[in-house]
Amino acid sequence: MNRRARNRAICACVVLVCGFTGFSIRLLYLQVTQYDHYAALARSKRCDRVVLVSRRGLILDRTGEVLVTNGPTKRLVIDGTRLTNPERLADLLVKHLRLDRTEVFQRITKTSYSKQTKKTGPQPYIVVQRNVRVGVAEAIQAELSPAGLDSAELKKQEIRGVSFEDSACRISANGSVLSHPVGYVNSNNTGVDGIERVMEADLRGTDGYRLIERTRKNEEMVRYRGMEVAPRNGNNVCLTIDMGLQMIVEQELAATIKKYDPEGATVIMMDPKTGHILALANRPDYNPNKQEGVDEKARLNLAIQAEYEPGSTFKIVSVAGVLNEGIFSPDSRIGCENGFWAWCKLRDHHAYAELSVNDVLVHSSNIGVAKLAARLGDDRFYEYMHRFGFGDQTGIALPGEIKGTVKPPYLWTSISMTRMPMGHEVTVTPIQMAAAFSVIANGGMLMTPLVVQSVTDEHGKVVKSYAPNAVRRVISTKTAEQVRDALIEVASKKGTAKDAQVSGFVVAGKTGTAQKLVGGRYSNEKSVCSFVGFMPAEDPAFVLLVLIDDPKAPREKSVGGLVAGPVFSRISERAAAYLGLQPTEPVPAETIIAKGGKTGGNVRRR
Amino acid sequence: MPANRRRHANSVPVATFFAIVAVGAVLGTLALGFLWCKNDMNTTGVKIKKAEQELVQLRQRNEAAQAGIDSLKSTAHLDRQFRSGLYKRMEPVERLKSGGLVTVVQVQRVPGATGELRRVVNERRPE
Repeated sequence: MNRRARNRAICACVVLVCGFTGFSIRLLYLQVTQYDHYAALARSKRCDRVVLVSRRGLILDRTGEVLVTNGPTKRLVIDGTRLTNPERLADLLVKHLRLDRTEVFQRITKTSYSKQTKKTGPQPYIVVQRNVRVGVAEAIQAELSPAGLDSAELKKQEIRGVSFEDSACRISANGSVLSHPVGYVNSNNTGVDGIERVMEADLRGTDGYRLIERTRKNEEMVRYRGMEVAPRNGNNVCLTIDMGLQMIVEQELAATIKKYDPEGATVIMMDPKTGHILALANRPDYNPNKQEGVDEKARLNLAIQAEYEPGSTFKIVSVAGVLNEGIFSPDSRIGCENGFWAWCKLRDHHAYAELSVNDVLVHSSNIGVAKLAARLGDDRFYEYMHRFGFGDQTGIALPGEIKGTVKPPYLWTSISMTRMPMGHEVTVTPIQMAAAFSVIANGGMLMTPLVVQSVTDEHGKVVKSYAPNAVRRVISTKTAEQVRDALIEVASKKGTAKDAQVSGFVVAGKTGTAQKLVGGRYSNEKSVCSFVGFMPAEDPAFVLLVLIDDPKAPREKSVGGLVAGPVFSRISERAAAYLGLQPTEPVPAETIIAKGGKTGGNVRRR
Repeated sequence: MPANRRRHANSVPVATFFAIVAVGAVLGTLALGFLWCKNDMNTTGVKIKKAEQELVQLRQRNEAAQAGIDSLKSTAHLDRQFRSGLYKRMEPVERLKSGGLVTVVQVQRVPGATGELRRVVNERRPE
């Protein structure tokens, strides 16, 4: 071989060696250094993780009636990288989902920067619409690939890159009834308010998943299925609410709203022995099934999130305090300044020279109760307010409960001690007031109001149960009985709540009328009327609070006894029939009115 | 013809040929069997997928129906129905031949009734 030929051969060899060395280095770089990146890229092309959706738990009432259930829906998802015929898809979505065409077209053709591919391009996962009804989803799916077309035309018309994921929406079986305690969920089915929020951990299930591989046509290859974890459905939550009682409350509240057109209203029915909330209704309310356009004020659960000056219902604190401390007996006489206490400019509705401690409650004397609180002293009065639960959260399992306002003694003015005992200069929540009256009805024990009775799994097995919780002994049993006897007289003919009587039963309760603060001054026109009582007084089955905020009634008739008292009476009468309570008092024959037509009519007591 | 010549004259390796054919046939059968198995697995997978989709659809329909039943059974709905003055009465099975399953009738108030809706259950009270 001559020299020239040898040089050529060497050059060729060097080029080949360099070339193959370069290829080898590149191969090493791709297979070793960049292995993870390319392996992940390859996996993402063919492998997928399919979510197996779990079912959210149901919410039931104490008898097992379903209050909130799930409805199957679909989530419309678009893979922008595979999408074909976006124009036709936009038309389809406008037709079936009534979306704005311009907006939906922009959304489905939106581009973004991908870190993985380091390019700007169509988005691979666009949620176009949540909670699409199954029927609508099927109709859209049928139109994605029109039938009866030849392959060329089909390719032109077919829409690819559209899929429907399984989802579910919450359905409130009773509409707006119980909207506040039950609450609602957001678009991700996560509880936002009420029981839905508080019991989120129990209601929410755990989604399962399945690892799958797909073909080029994006179809699953079942034989290459990988690991599968089954979903775990959420637990059911049983409330203490009784729908029968709730409906009675709702109907009577609706009638009251129609009659007085108030700014707001709240009714709470509670079992004093266990603290179970049997019924709870607020106005305004909302329908959890139609979330759009709901006024934010309507979402407020007034029972726990509204504070108001309670007025005379607060007088039980001072009376119970002096009786419990042994400062006075129920028959002790208190001077009532003939209706006007000059130094603090305090007035009574009727002039009394003196009243017994019981009569201070019965006639709702502001001067009498101020004197009782004065004898109790600042610190002890403040302590009793807290012992009754005012100024603290009750601990009810609902979100957003407020404490109300009970100022400590060092913030009181010279006349605070005359105003606070009659329910001014303090603010409370309706649930605090209902719990405080439960203390009297329950022999002096303060119970935590309970809304949740138990948590069961999907097969009905009890997972958790919530036992009644006694917070503290507030007053002795004897004192509770003494205050109860006074409250019975309040609802008698000589008291301020004659209209709260229920025929056949002994009612104990207290009226409350508080003027509302408007522009920093107490208004003569606007007031909060309330009545809180329990029945039967000797062995209470329930405590009932009725609160009407600013009823549209003549000033002289806008008082608790005339506005809230009759509502208490009607609800209690119907509740007694529902609960099967046996009347303890004789019912006068003339008050039994036979009504009805040919069948003989139903007999109604009045 | 001498035996050694006869062997050379009849030189077609029949035994080897048959052996190769037999091995080929076995290998071919195995290959076809493998293909058939793969195809069958694929077909079964498609069937499983279809059955799963049907199951999902049935479950969804069941859930939708259950949600509807819950709404219709709710106290609020029953109360509205009751107060509208009409309610649906289920007819005994033997009467089905002559009429429909559900008859709408006017409420007959029962003397002494309180007018409240109450839950009823199919439980026998103890005698």
